Amino acid sequence: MIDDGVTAVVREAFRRQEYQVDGAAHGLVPAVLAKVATRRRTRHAVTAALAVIAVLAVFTGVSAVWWEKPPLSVGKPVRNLPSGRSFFTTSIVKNGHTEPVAPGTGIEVSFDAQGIVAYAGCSRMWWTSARLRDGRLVLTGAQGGTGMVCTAPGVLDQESWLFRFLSNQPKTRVAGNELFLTGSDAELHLTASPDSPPPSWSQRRATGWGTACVGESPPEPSPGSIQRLQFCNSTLDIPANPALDQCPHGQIRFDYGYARPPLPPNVVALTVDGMGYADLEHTGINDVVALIGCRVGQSDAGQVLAFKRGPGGTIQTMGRVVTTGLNTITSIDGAWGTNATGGYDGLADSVRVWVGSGRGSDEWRQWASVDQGRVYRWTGSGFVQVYGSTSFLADHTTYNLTVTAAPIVFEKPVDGNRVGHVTVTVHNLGTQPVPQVSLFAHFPNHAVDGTCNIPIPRQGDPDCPMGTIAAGGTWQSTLTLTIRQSGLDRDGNPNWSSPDGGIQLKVGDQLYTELHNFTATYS
Amino acid sequence: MGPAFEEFVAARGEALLRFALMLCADGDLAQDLVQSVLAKAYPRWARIVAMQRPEAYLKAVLINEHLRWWRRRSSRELPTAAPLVAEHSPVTGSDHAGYHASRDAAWELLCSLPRRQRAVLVLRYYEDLPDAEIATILGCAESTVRSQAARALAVLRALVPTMDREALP
Repeated sequence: MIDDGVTAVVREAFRRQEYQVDGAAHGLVPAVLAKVATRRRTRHAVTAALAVIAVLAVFTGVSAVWWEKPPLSVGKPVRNLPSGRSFFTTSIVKNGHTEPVAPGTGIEVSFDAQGIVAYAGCSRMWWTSARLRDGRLVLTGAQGGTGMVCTAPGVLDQESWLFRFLSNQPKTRVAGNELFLTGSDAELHLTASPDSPPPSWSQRRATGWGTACVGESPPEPSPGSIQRLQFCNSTLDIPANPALDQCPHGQIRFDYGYARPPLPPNVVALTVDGMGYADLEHTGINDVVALIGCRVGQSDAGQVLAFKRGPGGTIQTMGRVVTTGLNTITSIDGAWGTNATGGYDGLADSVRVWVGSGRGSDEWRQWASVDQGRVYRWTGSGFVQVYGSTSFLADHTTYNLTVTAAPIVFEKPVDGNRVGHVTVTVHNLGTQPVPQVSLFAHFPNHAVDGTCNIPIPRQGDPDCPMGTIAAGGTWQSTLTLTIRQSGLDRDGNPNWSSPDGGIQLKVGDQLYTELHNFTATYS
Repeated sequence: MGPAFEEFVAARGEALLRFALMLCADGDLAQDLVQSVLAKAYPRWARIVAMQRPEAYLKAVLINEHLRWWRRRSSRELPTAAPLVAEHSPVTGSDHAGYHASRDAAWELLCSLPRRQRAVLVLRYYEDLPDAEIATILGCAESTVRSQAARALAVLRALVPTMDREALP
């Protein structure tokens, strides 16, 4: 998406204010517990008073008041541990022999400001506080985990082993990018990113890039598949991006989803922005589909690529699913259809890519973006689209619709706002019914609200589903919008000819036509 | 079993406070808001921590509570020394450009946005959530998220000078 920089201003404005609450969290727990205690005391006092009244009324007896005292305890911080870093390995040394981990998995140990998170290919397990004592890793505080059900051979055993290994206070040594954990029966030699620790969460949050490699994992892949951590820290063969020819291509090493520098001049970043799994070749092993984003100067482009496991643990590029042209790619759903509750189903070997037409900095173009889910399948040599719209525009040879809008009638201003009504009429001049017709309206001149006369459970810009219009039929909808008086020009008229506002007529998820010029009358 | 309540707050309390600050633009109000939400969460902690993403749940509650607070508070007078939300008023005179050139002006503009629009920007650009997730949290359509964001950005785009934006990385 081309960006004029205002979003960077927004991000920076947020970041610059974070200091306001620095250190404020220290007193949070006691304050919250005091509030809880107060509420409980109040509740109990009321309950007790009612009980006393009841008892007195019946027995002329006495009641006691009971106040609960909440517990107070605070986790201990990590000391002398590599806070903020993650370490990874694919082997375990047992009795002097190096053994590979379960196929398709890896062991990851991450340290945060408080404790550690460990991963052995299935669930994540964590301890909320950890410290280094006499050279040993001592895990204290609460222990938890994500509780995934994983059926891959050896993975659950590996996870149980890692849990016991970490719980038994292994000797711990950190040397640069290497982490050595030595227990009674085994040793783990883990490696961090050789260049630098992974960008901190705040840095990533500031850019919004490479987000596929942090946060929530994609759905669990089948055994033997490429794990996210492996994929995000691999050398990938990236084909040239036809939408932006300055994007780096060829063999590119990624660290935590970021292409490793140096990058060509003007290239801001090449990142893994989306990731999913699909069994594209029907091997029973999931392949990876990934959205690779590229930023060159103020421009960006993305392409969805498919990858599979190659010989010797390598990752092979299968091919390009789709790339940005005059559209945007917002997200991808691998293995689409396996969990679908409706619509097209049974596409476990496919990938759904969400594309939008709203490319550019123009507000109307961005706002009125036509978003479509397009499904692609691997043919053995390339990808073909098997489901979803193939065009953002509806077929005018199949449908024959006209749309007209009456002048907008504005009521008298109340509290600085004017409420306007516009009746939109759609005629089906064709010989067949037109299904899934809808109106979509947006008026940017300080419009604050809008509804349509068709009951819909949401507010904001009118999005009016009109259903099927029979052949020769007519459908009318009255849109109501509220604009601020301050948004009108000197003569009290909004600038309706602005391309930033208008009404869209859609058929399904395709655009049929747009209206931009309106006249208005005022009470 | 997830972390104990105290441990969770010790670990993630500051993140919740920062998030609340972005929503309500006032440090003290942010603390009140977070304390109130956590106090409500405390008795139900076992159920909350059993969720896949307790922090995301609490942030969603923070937003709803914030919007509810606003409705409650907007109907009564607030005895504050400084305005809770910096009013965006036209600045006249020779200092106009300098006023807007300040990065803090962008924050003030953000503060002057309607709360729902600001919530969308916070979720989109501070939390980096996709529009679909924002729509779920706010209980609205994705298109509404887009339009709210577009409106908010249009206001900022019109008022933050181009020079200031170009100076950013």
